[in-house]
Amino acid sequence: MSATAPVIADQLGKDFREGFLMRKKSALESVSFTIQEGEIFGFLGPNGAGKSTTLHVLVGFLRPSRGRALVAGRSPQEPEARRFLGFLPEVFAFDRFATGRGLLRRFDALSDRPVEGRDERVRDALEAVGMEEAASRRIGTYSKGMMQRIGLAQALLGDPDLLILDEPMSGMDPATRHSTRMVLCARRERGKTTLLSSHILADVEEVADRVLILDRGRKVAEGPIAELGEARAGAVVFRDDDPARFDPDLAPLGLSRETVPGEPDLSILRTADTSAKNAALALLAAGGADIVSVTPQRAGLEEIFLELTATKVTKGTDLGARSEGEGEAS
Amino acid sequence: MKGSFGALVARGLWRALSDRTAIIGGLLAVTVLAVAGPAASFNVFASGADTATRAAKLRLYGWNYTSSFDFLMVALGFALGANQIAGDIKAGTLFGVLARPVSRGKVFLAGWSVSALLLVGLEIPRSAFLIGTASWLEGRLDPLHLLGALAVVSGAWLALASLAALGTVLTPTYAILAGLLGVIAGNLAFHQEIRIGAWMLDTVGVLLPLPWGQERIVGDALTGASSHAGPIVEVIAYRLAWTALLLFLGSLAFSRRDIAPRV
Repeated sequence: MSATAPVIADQLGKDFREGFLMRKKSALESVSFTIQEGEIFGFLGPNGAGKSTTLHVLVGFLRPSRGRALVAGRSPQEPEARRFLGFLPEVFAFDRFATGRGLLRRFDALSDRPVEGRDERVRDALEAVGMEEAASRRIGTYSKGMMQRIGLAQALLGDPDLLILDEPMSGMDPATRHSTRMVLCARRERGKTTLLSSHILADVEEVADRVLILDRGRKVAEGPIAELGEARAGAVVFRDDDPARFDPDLAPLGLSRETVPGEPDLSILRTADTSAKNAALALLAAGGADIVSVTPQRAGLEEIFLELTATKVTKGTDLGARSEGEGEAS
Repeated sequence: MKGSFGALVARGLWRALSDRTAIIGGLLAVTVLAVAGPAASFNVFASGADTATRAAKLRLYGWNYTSSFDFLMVALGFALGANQIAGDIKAGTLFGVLARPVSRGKVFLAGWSVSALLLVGLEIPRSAFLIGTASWLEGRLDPLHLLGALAVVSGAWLALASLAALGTVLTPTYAILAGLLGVIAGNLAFHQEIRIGAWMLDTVGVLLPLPWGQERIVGDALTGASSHAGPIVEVIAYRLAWTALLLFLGSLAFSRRDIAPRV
């Protein structure tokens, strides 16, 4: 783990207190990852997976209950850690009486940057999101898409070394989404780092160098999309109520049956060989097994995501994509 | 004022001036002054008394006729204080600021400074008019008059700091409710004739220095009924010390609190 990496999360855990009785609820469990300089790092997971919680810890809004986070080598609680950071929260609001340009000027001043060059920095940020024409309008008159763009502009202000974006494409039209992806790619060309959390998997797939998938507060996968896809190629998931009764001979096909802890009626077969997969499917169908899903030869991000999160099949299993340092829930 | 603190103050000023509560409170305060000020002046100058008596009457009527302004100042302090952090969080406008390289303590203190300056700005017309006119009539500036006005301002600052500190850990509504409970408890405590007040004063007085009869001391200093500076200085010191303590505690609580947008 490099000490100079823009972002380091080491065994990060976060608990919240909920309800009248203040019951403890864990939102994050031992999540570790490192983001390298110049990387676009996709951060994925279903609702409630802990993505925003992780981002809020990295920006210093929340204190970790366990483990530690480092941003630019510093604790996120230190203001200095946020000097070269731009952040777009998923939910945000700005003073509605301010103009877009006025807001950016104010944020630039808050970042303690010199007055010299402020106009240029503000102009660059507005240009990057295509908001120059609406910059003199009051924010209260902006549409949702324009709000999202001005939110992105304030995050891009001053061309920060690290950009943390939580659902930046939400509410954007396809053209703006495209130009936003271009902005992120251009930043990468300049060696700038981006942490991109999004539900729009196509956007992440297009730009991310690596992704991390969270499910229920735990990391379930991390790595380049291509590698994760290969690891999940040709997965056949099937349900069998009575494994003792149904035991197809898979050895001649070079397959072995993986069981799922906590899901005794579910099994997984993996193969990159199409004929083996077809033969296995025929065997399963003949035996009356309920085939839950079949993943293509090379899984895309959506297949990977669904396999790891949307179905309960793989929860808790080691799929070979876990990085070292990831621990079990405490 | 330069740097991020100046930017925070500018932002706070912008927020306060676009805050409906602040605008309504400010307008009410100006209305009170616009009605009570001329009324007090008319009574004094129509009385036909000698200059010294006129000066004394001006101080007495001027401050008494505008006593509702004191209430408005404290109420405005409550509203601005509660809105300072708690309102900013509730509106979701604080997170863009907290993502910048500024400490939360600075954010808290800048917000309080803006509201404190606004309260001073509201008090200046009344104090300047009454102190200025009385000094002109008396031919000298009574330091106790000035100290009395400072005590009024420090009282509003204390209310502001109390609510700002409560607002770092509570929502605006709960902060105001807690502040009102504090006022009720404080009023009970300072009324010795009420049994529970005497009991509270005896209990709390063991731990905290509680100067009794603050309102009377301030009133005497403003109206010229007192010629001793000691009590009013003590009241000012008490209020400023509590303000400083509450600002410290509020800043600490805000710095240590988990605050994140609801998703």
